[in-house]
Amino acid sequence: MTTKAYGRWARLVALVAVAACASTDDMSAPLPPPGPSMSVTMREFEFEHLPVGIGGRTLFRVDNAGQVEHEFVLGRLSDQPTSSAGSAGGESPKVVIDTVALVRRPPGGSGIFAADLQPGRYLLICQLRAPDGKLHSEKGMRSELMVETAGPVPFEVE
Amino acid sequence: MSCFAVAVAAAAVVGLVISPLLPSAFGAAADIPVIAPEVPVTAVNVGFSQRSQNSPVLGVDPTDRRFVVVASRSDGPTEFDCDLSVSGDRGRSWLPAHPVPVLPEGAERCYAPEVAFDRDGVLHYLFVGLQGEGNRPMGAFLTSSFDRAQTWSVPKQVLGPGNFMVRMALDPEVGQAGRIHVVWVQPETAPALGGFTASPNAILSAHSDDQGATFSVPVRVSDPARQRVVGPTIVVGGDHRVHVAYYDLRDDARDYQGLEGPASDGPWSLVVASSDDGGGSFSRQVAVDDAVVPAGRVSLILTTPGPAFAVDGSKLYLSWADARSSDWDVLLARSADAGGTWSTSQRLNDDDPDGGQHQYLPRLSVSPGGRVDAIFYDRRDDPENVRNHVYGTSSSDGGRLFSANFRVTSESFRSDIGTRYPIPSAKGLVEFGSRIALWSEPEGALAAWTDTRTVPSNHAHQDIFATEFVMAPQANGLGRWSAFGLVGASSALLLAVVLVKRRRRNRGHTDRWIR
Repeated sequence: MTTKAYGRWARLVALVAVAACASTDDMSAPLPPPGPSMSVTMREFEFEHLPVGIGGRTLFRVDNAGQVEHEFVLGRLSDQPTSSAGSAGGESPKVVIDTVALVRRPPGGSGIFAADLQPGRYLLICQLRAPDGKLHSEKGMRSELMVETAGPVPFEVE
Repeated sequence: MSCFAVAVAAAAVVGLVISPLLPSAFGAAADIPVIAPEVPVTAVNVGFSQRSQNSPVLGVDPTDRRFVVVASRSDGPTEFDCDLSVSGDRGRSWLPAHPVPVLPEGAERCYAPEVAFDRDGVLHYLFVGLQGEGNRPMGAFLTSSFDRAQTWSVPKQVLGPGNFMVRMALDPEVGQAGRIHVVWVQPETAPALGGFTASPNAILSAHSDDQGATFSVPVRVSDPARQRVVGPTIVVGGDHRVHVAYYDLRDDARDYQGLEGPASDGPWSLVVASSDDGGGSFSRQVAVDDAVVPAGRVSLILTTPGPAFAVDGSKLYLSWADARSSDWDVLLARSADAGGTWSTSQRLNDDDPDGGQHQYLPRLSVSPGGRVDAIFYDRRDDPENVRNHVYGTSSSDGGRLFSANFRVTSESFRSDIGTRYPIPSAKGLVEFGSRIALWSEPEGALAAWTDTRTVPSNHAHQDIFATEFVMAPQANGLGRWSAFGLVGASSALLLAVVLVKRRRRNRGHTDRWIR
């Protein structure tokens, strides 16, 4: 077969392949993407997690690696700074505008839940009381999570 | 015949005799599926709008089985909404979808959604519109998505006001891309708060062959002689026969009208109406069981669960919660002749019959290969009879024998967390939803249920959780043959060794290791 003939056949095969692929793509809507997830480890007296999360319906996996029971309240913080003369270290007090989740686990326990996160700041805090009378949050069990992006459209949270 | 051949034949006979007598532990272990860790489908929000997500319905896209959806109710104390969650990775993670961004005119709330895929992968979402302080149903509406829940058609009204317990099923082989069947309860007079009036009900059905654009004239499903009919559940067989199961409350006016008082002793009747002409008429009515004792007081008759129903050609399977023994059990009846005759009811839960722990709200599903799967709420692990697990069981012989029950959930959860209706009949009761969900496929099944593990008991919050379980190969009927082969081969080998050694000794051969 001549070079010219080979070229003709190759072009024909390529055309058929492109046509087949195009028709398949046109008939198939994309699948929803996987949802975001976040791991949180609780121990005396801290939360261990990534500081930044992706918005949307987020799967939280919670482990208590400590020796005592812990909980965390996941609350959404106000975006508006507030002023107060009594603020320690010059920080603006944080106002929880909505409690999103409440999880309590014994030592060695684990749990899983989903929360709809919108862009903004979130507070993780443990309000259980230690034997010395102090709240776990006063001993350091509080941290912030920043959610920077909204969930995948059109499956964003409302 | 050589001694070796005789030995092998004898060992084979021994194996054949012994294998059916193998300990039940071996058989039970072979039937326990592999269960994936459960994941939450819906989101927690214990803030100012405490919502209880319950009553899940599962759908799987026939064009791509990775696309799975769960429709669910979202209940508040007096407010209701309907949700849809979607997954592109077969239920490992979930995202919220928005099938009803704008309610139809006149509807103030969305309620009790149903989902079904047609054979082209079009997703149909049916919901009831509620109106007013009494949450009266003002119509049922159908919206559809042609692009995997990204966009939705404008909801089309398919039923008028005053209809309850609307259910949908789809026959994928008939019509433009499938025949949509809808069934509902139509009371003669508008119900009062918390229950029907003393007037009779009727169950009606209609169908659409053009993806919901038009529906047939409704036809009567329930027997006119049966007046207190509730809880319709509809299935369509591969033979295109349509079957509707429902309860007839008979003399139980207390539950029917939502009056105060203790749980009824029944009996109710469980009835199946069948259509041999694709839903055009329902000429056959058969009472499956006339001795049904309701599992506790009905919280709200307008939303009461119907029986679980599954079909495999001409084989039908029904399951329901029943209190005729000392506690609530899950019973099952089956028909091999498209509902003409039914077996006596058998107990599906295999815990101690006198243990006093409840099993209830079953769900059935049949795989394409005919395996019958069942899941149900189960409190056998809690002596206080409060905390639920989800248990399952499976049958590979048309429902005659079921496997040992296996636990689906890794963590139990309280059954007393949820919405409490402010009506006389619901005093002291918690709404836990009208159903759980199960979808069977050749290799296993997807399951979804209402769960309360995520929040403490002082919050009225429920979530939907889901998992997938994969059946072990032995559960498909190969277990005993594998066991037979193992025993037979082992016996043959042992006998052969013994006989060869004896033969050598008799001929005076010295074992070379002893020389």
